[in-house]
Amino acid sequence: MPVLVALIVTAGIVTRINIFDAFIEGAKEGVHTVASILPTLCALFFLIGLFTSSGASDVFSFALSPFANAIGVPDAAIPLMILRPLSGSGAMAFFKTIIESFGVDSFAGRVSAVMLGSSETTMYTVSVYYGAAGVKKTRHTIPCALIGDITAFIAAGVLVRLFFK
Amino acid sequence: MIIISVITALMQGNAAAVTQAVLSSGGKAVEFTLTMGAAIIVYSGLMNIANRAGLCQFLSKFLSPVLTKLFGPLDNSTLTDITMNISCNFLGLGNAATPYGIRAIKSMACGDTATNAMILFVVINTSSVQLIPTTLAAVRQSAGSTSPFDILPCIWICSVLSLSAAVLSCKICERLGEKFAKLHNAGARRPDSNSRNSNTHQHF
Repeated sequence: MPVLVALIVTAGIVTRINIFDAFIEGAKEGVHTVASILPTLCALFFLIGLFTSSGASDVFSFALSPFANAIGVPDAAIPLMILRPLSGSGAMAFFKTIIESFGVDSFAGRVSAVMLGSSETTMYTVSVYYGAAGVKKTRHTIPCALIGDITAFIAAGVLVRLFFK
Repeated sequence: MIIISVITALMQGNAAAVTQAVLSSGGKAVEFTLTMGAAIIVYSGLMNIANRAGLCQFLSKFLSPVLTKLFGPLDNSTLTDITMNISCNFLGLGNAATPYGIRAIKSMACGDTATNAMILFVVINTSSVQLIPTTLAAVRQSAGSTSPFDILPCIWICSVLSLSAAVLSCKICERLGEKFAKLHNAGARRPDSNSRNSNTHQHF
């Protein structure tokens, strides 16, 4: 991280842009992003609070746990795999509940972090781009994109096991 | 999801816990936004410096030859947009990436069916290879991780694997689509196969 910061600032100096202004401009965008996701997060925390405290999430995880064990993913991360392609903030909110109950540096915490970091809100991305282009017949887009996501989820379990155990 | 949760709660006798969760969820959301919000703001400030300094353009020089091979013949400005979109995404500059992406996909569009190049582009976008997942790091940091960045190598390998799987499956589908279309065309030439040529799924 310190290397990256130095690199970015050096690049800024070399290209002679106003570093301070650029930072402020970006930070303003950041404030906007943060403010705009708050209502969504409220709704999602509400939903996820319901889902986990009612025991529905346990039932769900239990039902899918043979599958999860087969691919080496912790049970707690299963709802995350379903949420991730559908809603970015939802997945983030669920990630928060995982790290609260298991710890941020636990196996489940790390696997979910890797899952989040290496996949994308597939359905949202597809709808933004195809919406802009006016495409209705998406052909093999969604299956291929989901193959990518599933690969990421399986690899997350395997890799975290390799790196941290 | 709400209904399923409520039913499960009643069945398992967790109603009290649910009430608690509903009441505290708003506070949790605000708290979460505040703790990770600060880090997000700082990162987006930093990343904007990278953006202004032209790091995307720099990166796109390296990506351009690979993408040319992957996408095949496309006109130059479209390819530039695609390259810039992917470079910006790689650096985690989602806000900067989207306009390029939209422009690229609009210039590739023809009709309401996605072309092979469009599918490839969208699939690459959905499998996100990102150098520094800043939001994720911000959340881990605010949750008290000893080193929020220690999972980066895992994420990189994982992203590359998922990207390869997605692109490979795309290419396989393209091949299958071609074969399928050939069958279709062969069938269409025969006079007794009206049912076959009535709808052609494949688009080139």
